[in-house]
This record gives sequence, structure tokens and C-alpha cells, in this order.
Amino acid sequence: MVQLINTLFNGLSLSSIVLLTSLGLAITFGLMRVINMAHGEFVMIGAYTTYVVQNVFSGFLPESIQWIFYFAAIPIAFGITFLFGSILEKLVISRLYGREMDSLLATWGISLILQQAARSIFGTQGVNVTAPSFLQGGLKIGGCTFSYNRIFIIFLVLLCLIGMYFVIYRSGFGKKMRAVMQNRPMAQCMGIDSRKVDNITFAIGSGLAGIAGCSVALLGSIDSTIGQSYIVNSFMAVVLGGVGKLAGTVLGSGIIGFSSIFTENYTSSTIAKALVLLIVIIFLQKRPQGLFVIKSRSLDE
Amino acid sequence: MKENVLEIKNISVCFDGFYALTDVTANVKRNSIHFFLGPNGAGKTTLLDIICAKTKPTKGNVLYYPKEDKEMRLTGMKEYKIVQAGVGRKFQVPSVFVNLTVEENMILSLKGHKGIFDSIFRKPTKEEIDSIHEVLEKVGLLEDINTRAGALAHGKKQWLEIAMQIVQKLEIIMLDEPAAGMGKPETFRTGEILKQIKKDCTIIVIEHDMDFVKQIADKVTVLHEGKVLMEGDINTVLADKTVQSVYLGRGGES
Amino acid sequence: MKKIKKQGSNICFLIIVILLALVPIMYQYELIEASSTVLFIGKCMAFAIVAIGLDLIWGYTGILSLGHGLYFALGGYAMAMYLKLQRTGGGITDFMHIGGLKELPLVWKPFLSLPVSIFLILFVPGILAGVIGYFIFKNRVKGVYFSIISQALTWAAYSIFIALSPYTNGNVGITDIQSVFGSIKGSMNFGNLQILFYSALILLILVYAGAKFLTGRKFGKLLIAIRDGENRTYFSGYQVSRYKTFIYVLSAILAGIAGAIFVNFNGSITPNQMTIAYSITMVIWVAVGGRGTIIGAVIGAFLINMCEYKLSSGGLVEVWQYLIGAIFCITIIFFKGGIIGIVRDHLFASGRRKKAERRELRQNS
Repeated sequence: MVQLINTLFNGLSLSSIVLLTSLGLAITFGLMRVINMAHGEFVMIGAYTTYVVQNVFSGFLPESIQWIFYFAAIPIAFGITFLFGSILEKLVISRLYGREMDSLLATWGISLILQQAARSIFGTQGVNVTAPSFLQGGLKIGGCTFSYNRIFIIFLVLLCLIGMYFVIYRSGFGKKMRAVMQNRPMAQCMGIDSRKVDNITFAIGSGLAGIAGCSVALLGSIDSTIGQSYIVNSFMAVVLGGVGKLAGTVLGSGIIGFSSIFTENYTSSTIAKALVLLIVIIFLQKRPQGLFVIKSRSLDE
Repeated sequence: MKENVLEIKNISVCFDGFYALTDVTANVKRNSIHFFLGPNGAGKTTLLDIICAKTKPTKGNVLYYPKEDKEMRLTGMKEYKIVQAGVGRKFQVPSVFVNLTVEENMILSLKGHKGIFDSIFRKPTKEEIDSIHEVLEKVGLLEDINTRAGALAHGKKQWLEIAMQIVQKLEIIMLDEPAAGMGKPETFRTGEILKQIKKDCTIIVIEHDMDFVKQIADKVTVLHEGKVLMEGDINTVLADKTVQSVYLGRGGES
Repeated sequence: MKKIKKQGSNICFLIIVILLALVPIMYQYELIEASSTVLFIGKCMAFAIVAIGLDLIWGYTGILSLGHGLYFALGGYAMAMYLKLQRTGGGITDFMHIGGLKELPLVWKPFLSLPVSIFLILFVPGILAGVIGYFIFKNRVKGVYFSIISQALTWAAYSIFIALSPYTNGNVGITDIQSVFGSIKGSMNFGNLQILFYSALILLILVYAGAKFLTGRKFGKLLIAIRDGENRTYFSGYQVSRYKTFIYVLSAILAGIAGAIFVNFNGSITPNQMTIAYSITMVIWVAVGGRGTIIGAVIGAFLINMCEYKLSSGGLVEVWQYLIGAIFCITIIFFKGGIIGIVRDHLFASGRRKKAERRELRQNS
């Protein structure tokens, strides 16, 4: 029983991390059909931002209230990655609309540059963020321990989800965003500046990666490859969940997270990786139509 | 040999609760030019989609009677098998292979030899090349034979796609708005070409241009809101009051 | 002029072959100082082969694989296992000993024989690609979805290879091996190096010629047709999924061959060759050289690797990382046709063609 609860909690925790890193990806892919290979590097930027904020705060804040740095880091990380995303969209992505594969490759080039920049600035050695004191330790119920930082991440994801829900489905900007997503030419005819919508949407997606970066900073040391280690799972979650629906991404992340943890329990983490891949491929056998419905009257776009 | 080459039986299609087609039944006679008419959203294109297996019907069957083979049930077959069996289609939006030349487009469309081995080792025979030239001559594309298909003007792309259907030696050719983007003289010429080739095959057409319909139609089926409204020759159909009210009356022209 | 245009790529390849053939001779007369340079150029030939394979699926067929490093590494490991057993005389290796294995594991046994090893170099990547391709293409998973899956596949294989360290020596990989023709280090083994170098060159020529042949036939036109209009190709009566699987398998086999050649020159293989990053680097070669042309893949593989070799050995590793990222980005955004595209558009494009292209652009917009 204890073990089952632990497993479930770990699954939930991993799912929430996958979800946090794939939320932004799902949004940019859903709206703009852009697979952003530099998304992992935005996560990295978020993590390094947390590290920098921690160092700056430790300079002039008394020890007792240093935990504030973390709450400052989240909006700052969001802001910085938002800005990066906006610039990237302007410089690169906006030139590649309609060329999905090319945008994937071009963003890979960006990701190489960002990784090297991180190495040049912070060195190849990993750096660490000390979790705020109230996140250290864990909640003990019965024989189970729920570490606070993982609980915190789950709440952070919920917060992001609710935030995204309101932005997409309840705000004026969200309405424009969905309009562009569903019918770009029509939206343009209605006077929506689709370029601007694209830019902000991409920036929001990147900003979410920044927040994800803050949370993964709690889990281990930060180096230039941190983004890469999270990104593959996120891509799989997006593929599994289908395009353009928040619920799909949540489900996809859940499947990836829980199936990884469950198989890991019985076998090893490497076999778990292979199995998750297998699950995705089998899923695509059953429901490929969810992924590429031909809607227009022209055969190939 | 059966008189009908294609029998559409009780086809219904449902997209997320919306019935695009309801219980459509129609027979297409061999060596005829059969039109499907109807206002936008009547389900014409969907019907062609079902025949060529781009869309699966919720209910119903499509039966095909080839000249030299036994009856075939097209519903449930893979699209490339349907084409190999002799039922081909030109799509509404011209879809030729833009980075290949006109001739290469035609070679890919030749009947038979669709396997990997043949694609690598077999060269088109002299007769096949001749037939390509003949068809291209007919549609007036012979001088463009080495042009990249993507560089052709819109009307020429339409003709190329029609030519690609002809060279396949199909038994049933389905054309979705073949005259779209063509001027009157070009449309007329297309009609004459279709009349010529119907001695070897059956042609199913969707088109809005009434002059074109009058020029070549043998039989017309009018669809409205996913149901068959009427069937018959063009003059009877045009004279019918219901047809006029749902379709022709709205358009005003002709 | 017209003839040059038509035969341009072959002439270009001929020049490359002649230059390559001169490399061992230049080394002999000490025009090339370091033997490592010769070995490096040997590796470049392997890279050119995998680039041709990648170009066949990406440039021609539109299948973007972000996991060809896997097939490259599988070929490489197969070769390395044979070569390692040559070193140990068929006994168990040091890392197996450390891993607690008492005798040679079953999976290593076939690699005692050279013919079987060669067969496996071709077969293992081929069969894996066949199974993956069959299931994925049958259901018409395409575009970036395929790319993501190929990436995940590589990622999973990478972690499996690391985890199975008693069998694969984990992170370190299989090291300390000589080439098929014996040691190639030092001047007394120059003969071996020469044989190895020219064998690789012959393989490169064969692969180039084979790829040229394939793309020149109707098969090649079909690949382009699939890239530009997959559904249309189905509706022309072709079983596209089978074609895609076929070319994917072929490309995986080429990657396997390339990996095997690479190991001979490199003297080791590590799981590094199996990473996503390495796989995408291969795509960079093709993109920069010019996708959709065989010669472009060859030129790209040589050029990028030569630049990397020059800059990295000059202590400019950091600069190189920025540079390669920027080159890749700029190529993709502004020069879709890569180097070959630039040459074609600016040196050979006649006025008529340009006009036609402009018209096309107008029509499409």
C-alpha cells in the first residue's frame, strides 16, 4: 500500500514536470505548428535565472528571509524567457511559417547557440539552487513521504494550467488566439493582427518554459544540457495528446509520467524509456487520425 | 457485362453528429458522363471522397463492376488499390507534383507497374511514351512537356491533372470541378475532350458551370443537403420546380 | 555550358574523388604532416555516406529523421565488436570482466566471424528501420511527428546502450581497436592505412553511384512526388508507405555502413555517436550542402567537418559551437537549397527559369 501510494505520487510528480515543460510546447505547436527545439533551452534559461536571482538576493537579504528569492525568480524567469521567445519569433520563426520541419531545424540551431552561451557564461560544471527552507523536507503521512518541493511543483503546474485556461478561453487575447488557430486568413480579415498574436503566443509558450526552469532547478543541478534531458518526454507528451487542446497535453503528460514511473518500478529507468516509446508508437497505430486529419479540400498542404 | 459500372448504395456519412450524406443511392452507367450537381455543402465532394476511399462512410456500400473482372466492393479498400483497379480522381484544388516536369508527372500516372522493383528497373515503353505524347497533345500541353508542373498556369495545371487521369487508362474518372479557373473556350474544349474519351471509360463530374453540364452531361444527379433530390437527364432536371428552388433559382444565372 | 550544368554534380564528385585519392600520396610525400588528418579525411568519407542516406530520405522523400545517429552507431558497434574480438583473440573483454561476465555473451558470438559481422552491419540497422518504418508509415504518421518519434527512439536506444555496460562498456564505448586491415598507426603500417583509405573511397563511389542511379529512375521521381504530395501519390495508385519504408531502410543501411567505416578510422565507438545532437548534426551537413541533391550531401559532409576539424583543433571550440548554430539557422531560413542551391540559382539560372519561378511565387501567394 505504502509503495503504491509512493508510486502514484511519483507518477503524479513526474507527470506534472512533463506537463510543465510541454505546456508551452503544446501551445506553440497548436497555434503555429512550430516545433520549438530550443524549448529545452528556455527551460535551461529559466533554471539559470533562478540561480542568478538566488545569488543576487543572497548578497543583500538577511538569511532568514532569503526564501523570497524563489518567488521573485518565478516572474523574472517568466519575463526573461518571454522576451527571448518574442525575439526568437521575430528573428527566426516568423520567417518559417508553413515550413514545420524547417522551423524545427532552425530552432535546433538556436538551441546549439544557447547551450554554448550557457557554457561560456556559467561554465560546464553544474550549479545548484538551494531550495527555499520551507520546501526542504517532506510531508509524512503514515509510511509515505511527500517531499515539499514536488508538492509545490504540482501546485505550480495547476496554477499554470488555470492561468493558461483563463488566457486561452476567457480573455480577449485568447479569443484572438483561438481565432487565428482555427482560421488564420479569416481572422486576418476580421482585423486581427495575426503576426502580433503569433508573437505573443510564442512568447507565452516560452515563458512557461521559463517557469518550468524554475521548478526543475529545485530538483537537481543545473547545466547546459538540462533542457535536453526534459525535452524528449515533453515532445512525446505533445504527440500523444494531439494538437491544440490543453486537455490532450494534460492526458499525454499523465500517460508518459505514470507509465514511466510504473515500468521503472518493476524494471529499470532505461527499459521504462523504451516502453514509453513503444506505448506512443502503439497509440499512433490505434489513433493516427487524431493527429493529421485532412480537413481542407486540397490534398496535400 | 453489367450496364452499371458503379452502384452507390445507401451511403450515409456522419461527421461528429452532422450528416453530410444521408442514404444516397445512385447508379452510374458505363461509358456515360454522369454529373453530380447541387449547391455548396450538398455533399458532392464528400460522395467522391467516399468512392475513392478518402473518407469512410458510416453506412452503405459502393460497388464497382470492372470490364474484365468480377464485382468489387470499393468501401473498405485502400485508395491506391482502388486506383489500381481503375477508379481515379482529379481533386478540386489542382494537385500535380510541382517539382516534377509535365512528362514525369505523366510517367508516374501510367497504368500498372506501381511496385518498387518496377519503379527502379523498368523504363516506360515506346508505346507508353507515345500515349503520353498523344494525351498531352490532346490537352495542348505538348510544348510544355519539359516544364516543371509547378510553373504552369492554373488552367494548365487543371489540364495536366485531367491528362494524368486519362493516361492511367482508368475505367472511371472522377473530376471535381474540372473547369474551375478556366475561361469559356477552355471549358468548352475540356468538354470536347471528355466526350472523346468517354468511349473508353466512364466519367463522373462535379461542376457548377451549367453550359458545361448541358454540353456533355448524359445523366445528372442533384444532391441537396446530403440527400438525392432528383435524377435524370439535364433538361428534365432543369425543368423541375424543386430543383430550381433549391439550387438554380438561387444562382440566378442560366 | 548546358553540358556542365547537366553533368555538374558528377564533375564535382569526380574532382572530390581525385582529391581524396591524392590524400594518401600527399601524406607519403609529407605534404600532409599529421596522420590524424588522413584518418580524419577517412572519417569524412563515412560521414559523406551517411549524409547521402539522410538526403535520400529527407531531401528527396521529405522524411526528417532526427535519429540516424542510432543506425550509424549500430553499424559502428557491430564493426567494433568484431574488431575488439580480433584484439582479444575471441576471449572476453576487460569491460565484460569488470561487468561480472564469465564468458563471451551470446550477442557477441556472431562477431567472431568477419562475414557474419559484415552481414550484421547491414542487417541490424536495416531490420530495426524496417520494423519502425513499417509501423509508423503504415499509419501515415509523417512530418514532424515522425521526427519526434525518431528522436525518441534514439534517446531510448542511447540509454539502453549505456545501461547494458557489461555488454557495451557503457559510456566509454568500445575502444582500443585496430582496423580490419590491421593497425593503421605509424609509418610502418602505412600500407594498411592505404588499403583502408582506398576501400572507403571505393565504397563512397559505389554509394554515390547507387544513389545517383536510384534518383535518376522513376523511383527517384516518386520519392519527390511523395515529398511534395504524399496523398496525391496514394491516389496515383502507389503504396506510398511501402516506398517510404524501403527508402528509410536503405538509408539506415547506408548509415550502418558509414558507422562501420568510421570505426575503422576512429579506432573506437562511443554512445556519443548515438545521441540526438549527433544525429541532428548529420542533418546540418545535408542542409548546408544542399538537400535534394546527392552531391550536396557529400559536399556538406566534407565542408562542415573540415571546418570543425580546423577550428576545434585550433582551440576555437567555443566559437565553432556558435558558428555551427548560426550557419544552420541562416541556411535553413535564407538558403533552403544550401550551397548547391546558391550555385544553381546564381550561376546557372537562366532568365526564363527565374521568370517562371517568380510567376509561381505570385500564384501561390
